[in-house]
Amino acid sequence: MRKVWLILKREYLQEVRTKWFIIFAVLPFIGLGLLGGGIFLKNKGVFSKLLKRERIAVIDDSKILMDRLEKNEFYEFVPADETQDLNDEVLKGKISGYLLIDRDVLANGKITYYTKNVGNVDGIKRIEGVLNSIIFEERLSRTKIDPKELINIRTRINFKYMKVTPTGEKEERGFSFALAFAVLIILYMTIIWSGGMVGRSVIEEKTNRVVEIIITAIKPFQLMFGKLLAKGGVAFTLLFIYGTVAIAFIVYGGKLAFIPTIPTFSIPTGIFAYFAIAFVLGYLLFASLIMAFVSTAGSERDAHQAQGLPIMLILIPFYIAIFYVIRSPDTGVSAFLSLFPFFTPLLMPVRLTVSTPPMWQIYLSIFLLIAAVFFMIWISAKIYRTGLLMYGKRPKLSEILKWLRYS
Amino acid sequence: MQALKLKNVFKYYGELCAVNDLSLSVPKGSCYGLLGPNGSGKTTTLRMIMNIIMPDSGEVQLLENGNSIGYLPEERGLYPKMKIYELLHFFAEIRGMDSKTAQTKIEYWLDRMELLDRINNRVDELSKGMQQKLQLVTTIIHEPNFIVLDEPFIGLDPIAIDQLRVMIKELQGAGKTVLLSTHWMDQAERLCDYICLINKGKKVMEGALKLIKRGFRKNGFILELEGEANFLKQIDYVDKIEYDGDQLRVELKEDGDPKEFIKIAFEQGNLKGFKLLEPSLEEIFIEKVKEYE
Repeated sequence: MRKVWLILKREYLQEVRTKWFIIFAVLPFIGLGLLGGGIFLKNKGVFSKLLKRERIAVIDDSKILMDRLEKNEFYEFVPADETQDLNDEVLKGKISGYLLIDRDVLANGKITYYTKNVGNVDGIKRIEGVLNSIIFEERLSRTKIDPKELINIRTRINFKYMKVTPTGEKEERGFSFALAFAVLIILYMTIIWSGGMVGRSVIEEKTNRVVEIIITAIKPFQLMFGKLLAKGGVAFTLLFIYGTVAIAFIVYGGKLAFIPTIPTFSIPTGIFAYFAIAFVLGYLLFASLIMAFVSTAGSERDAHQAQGLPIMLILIPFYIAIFYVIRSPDTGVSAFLSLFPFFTPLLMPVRLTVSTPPMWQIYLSIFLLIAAVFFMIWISAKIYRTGLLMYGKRPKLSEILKWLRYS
Repeated sequence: MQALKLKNVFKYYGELCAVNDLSLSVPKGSCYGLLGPNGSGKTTTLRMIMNIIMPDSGEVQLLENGNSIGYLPEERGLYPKMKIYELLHFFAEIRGMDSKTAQTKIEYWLDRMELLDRINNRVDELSKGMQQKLQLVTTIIHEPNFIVLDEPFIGLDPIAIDQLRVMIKELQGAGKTVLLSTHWMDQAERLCDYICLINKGKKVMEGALKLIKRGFRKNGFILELEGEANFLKQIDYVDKIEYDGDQLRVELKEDGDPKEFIKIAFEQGNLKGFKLLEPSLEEIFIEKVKEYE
């Protein structure tokens, strides 16, 4: 056990000390820092000071809006009258434009904007938006309506839609489709990435022959197991960092009003637990398979080819998920495919997110996956033990099968 | 006591018989040289001893096992991205040494190898020669009793070769057994007590170096004379005279009396010094390999 731990420690540290790992690990914190800093600066009003506000002259015939306009933080509204040659100032670029506010603006809402560049539709829309809310506030202030009350009145409806199925009706979660995609992509990327890490580590050790020394000190299985745990741990570390930052972002980021409406959703703990199980078992399954294949390679180039089949086994369920299971999670085909151990880690979490598969399928999938992991590690250890110390030509599949029989 | 025994070991690579009925025994505490030309099966033999490959038939008996074996493979390799201290610590610990002892050992060996100031460098920041030395340290850092060195002199400069020789002698003095393979006969001759000569996977000869050399000794001398050497031609049992710098290599006929010869040389040639005519290991090697073919 101590030796497995030594291998684990070395392999883990080697990976987390690489430049790329550090960059990837620090990146979300930099993002979070920038976000926090941005919010801080915004609250201090630094941005509005930094941004040069557009200067817009106002001829306010209604005589009631100027106060509100001058308080605006996005535009610099300056009072003007007809005696000035505003057209000339616009053409010379002293002001962006000028507004003519009708005497009865509260009743008829008539405001005209004169500017050089009428093609700037976005800019004009923004001014319209600002003016709209100012008129709204002014109108509101003249009624007896409590502004807080109004906010309550204007709250959007809580619109749910229910899906009717033969077994009853159930809620269709609005975000489930997006969540399924996210789950799928995260699982797919982490498994591919960590499997690649394992493969690289095996072939590095084999081509520089360190493995000959290591193997005189420890059993191949200990080496393999230590490696598997170490690289899985590295992937888990990164997932943990990103997960924590994502949760922090969702919980605090929304409150800090940079993005006004972050959808508040919760991932059911059951799905979350299954996600964790799928990651751990899926990783062990694919990584041990990659290890077995790569150990038969003689060079880095060989190793790339050797990873072909294991990678195919991840790609296939990935595409099946995107093109079929995510849309039809409850068909017999989907159920059958998601029970196949090599497909389970990607397909079952997707089914769980967009639908509610029967409990027995969920338990069966975990059971089959665990059995497959044990079987795979057992077989891989045999291939690994022999492949690791073989040099020269890559063995044919028939030869590998022979090793299995004799070892 | 024997530290290692090989009994009728065979190893085939396809059609090729890489090791052919090899038997040998390495006495405990000896420095044993496995000698042979390139491709003679030395590395294959060592890899079978290290249990890296399995013999097709025959038996390998090792007195020591696991942590008390040190192995320097022919093709060197270390973890290039690791720091030197961490690398040595890892190799010591993985062979069962505790962390504290490992630390003192690391400092001791790095100091001896003049690498102590590089202790925090990464392996790939060292020159090739330094990496070789470092690899040697990884081989012995855990104080093994049985040390297997596959072509240890390759890639070392003369100073490092000298350091290595001193190191091997010390290890041997401390009761360790050293088994090394080389095709450099002069190094083997200076280091080994026992040798085994193999060619094309087959044993040509094996035994204590002293006895082997005695067996190949010729009736003759290497002489250092102060006077004229012409008198040598007068002696009827002198077979051959060769000039080798300021030394003379004289071979006598089989019936020639060496005692009488030295007496004559002393009296007539003002003899300053002499040495028995003993072939070098290299000469024995070439002779045996040729004979074998």
